[in-house]
Amino acid sequence: MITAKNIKKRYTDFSLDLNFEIPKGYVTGLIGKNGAGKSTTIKLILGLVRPDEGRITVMDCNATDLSAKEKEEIGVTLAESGFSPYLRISDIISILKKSYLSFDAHKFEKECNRMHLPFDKPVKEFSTGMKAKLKVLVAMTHNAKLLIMDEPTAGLDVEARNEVLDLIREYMEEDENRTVLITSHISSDLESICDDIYLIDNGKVILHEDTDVILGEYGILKVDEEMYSNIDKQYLMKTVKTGYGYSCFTNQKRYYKENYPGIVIENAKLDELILMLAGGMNK
Amino acid sequence: MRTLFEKDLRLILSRKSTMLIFILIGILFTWSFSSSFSGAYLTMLGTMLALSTISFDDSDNCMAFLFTLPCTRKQYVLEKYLFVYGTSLFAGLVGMVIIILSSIIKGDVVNGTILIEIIASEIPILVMTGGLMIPLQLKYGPEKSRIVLMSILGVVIMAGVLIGKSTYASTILEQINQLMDGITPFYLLVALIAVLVIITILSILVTSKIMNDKEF
Repeated sequence: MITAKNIKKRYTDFSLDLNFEIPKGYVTGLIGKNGAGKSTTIKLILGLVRPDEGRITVMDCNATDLSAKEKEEIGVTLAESGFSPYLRISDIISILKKSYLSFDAHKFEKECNRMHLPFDKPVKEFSTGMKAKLKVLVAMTHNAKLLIMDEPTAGLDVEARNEVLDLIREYMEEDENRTVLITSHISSDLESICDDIYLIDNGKVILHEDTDVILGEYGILKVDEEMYSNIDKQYLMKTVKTGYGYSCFTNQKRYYKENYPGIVIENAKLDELILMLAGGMNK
Repeated sequence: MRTLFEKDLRLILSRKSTMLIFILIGILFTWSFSSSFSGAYLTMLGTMLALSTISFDDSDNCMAFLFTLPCTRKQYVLEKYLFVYGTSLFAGLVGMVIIILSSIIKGDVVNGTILIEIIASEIPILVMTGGLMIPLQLKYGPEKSRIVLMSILGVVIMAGVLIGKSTYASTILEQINQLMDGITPFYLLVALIAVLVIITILSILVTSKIMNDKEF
């Protein structure tokens, strides 16, 4: 569905160097620290930014040459952009009707009512949560084959976040061929919906793994100095010195569990993955 | 392109009260002072109102999202010209209606020649304003573009003053007058339309380049 080959984008103080592939029917998460390059990656995919080198294809078309017809198949939420805040939902419905042949106005209105979004108030008067919900509804009510969502849950409380995540889940359940690319700084959101995860750091993909594998096989060994000197280090991806000894990040926690009885192993979540691989001390 | 027209129309309609005040001022001035005032006045306001949609697109980084909707950069450029020219002409027509109604109510004779002269003077103004302001606003944003426009006008006025002071000024003016005398009104109109078309095409080409180079 999306392919990025040898993509390079250079800014004065930052450069991006990417290769990735997002297959049809996958929910893929893009994680990384602030400034890692997630939003720039999304913009490159959408043709909003041009790569200096390499090629990104979206639905077999060059990302920078996407036609209006091809864009009809894509639903987008951007973290820091949306419809003009001077428009009202009633205006947005009219615009969407003109934009997408498959726009489901009934569903859109129904969901707006369910989420208590006022139709006749300018968007600038909406709360952060209301704006975020509106963005998600705009992206998901025209039967898009591809959803690209940059921080769709940013600024939402737990309840609103769950509502938005439920919408995404429902959307995927309606049609298994739909593809979703989602970024979030709240990793637990991605753990529950993504099939695979790309971890970006300093403009480079430093890890690509299935979410099940990350949650099942990755772990953090908590060891003291003595144990650290004795354990097999070939499966340690990163080690960080701590107050009690070492935190060692591994993608083979079962190996250590079987070979070092009594070793303390914590399950790795995406937050730890970011912390250990995109920060901390080198192995 | 339908997306963009609908969006711009909705943005303009979100300022209904402002538009109503402008129309009322046009009616008031036409009634009180000049029978031809509202034509030029509303054309100019129509142009400014339509141009303000660029500021709306530019504010809050809305343009990035706009280009994820089913529209291309090329369509955006074409739509902007059609919208600015169309809105200005429509506003000019509203102005004409006000002039005609004002004349009828006052019991004056509606002079067709004057109306044609008003239209003929409005169109170059809107083409010049739109053709200059669309690329400037997209390149520099609403604030900086005003400064750039003022600078350009300053340079033009200064050049005019310097030329006027030169010893060749009277000779040049005389030659222009002679040239104009030799041209029939029909050919003058054709020349004017050709100049306006050329200005618009050049402006569209510059704006297309600006939009193609733009990153969001």
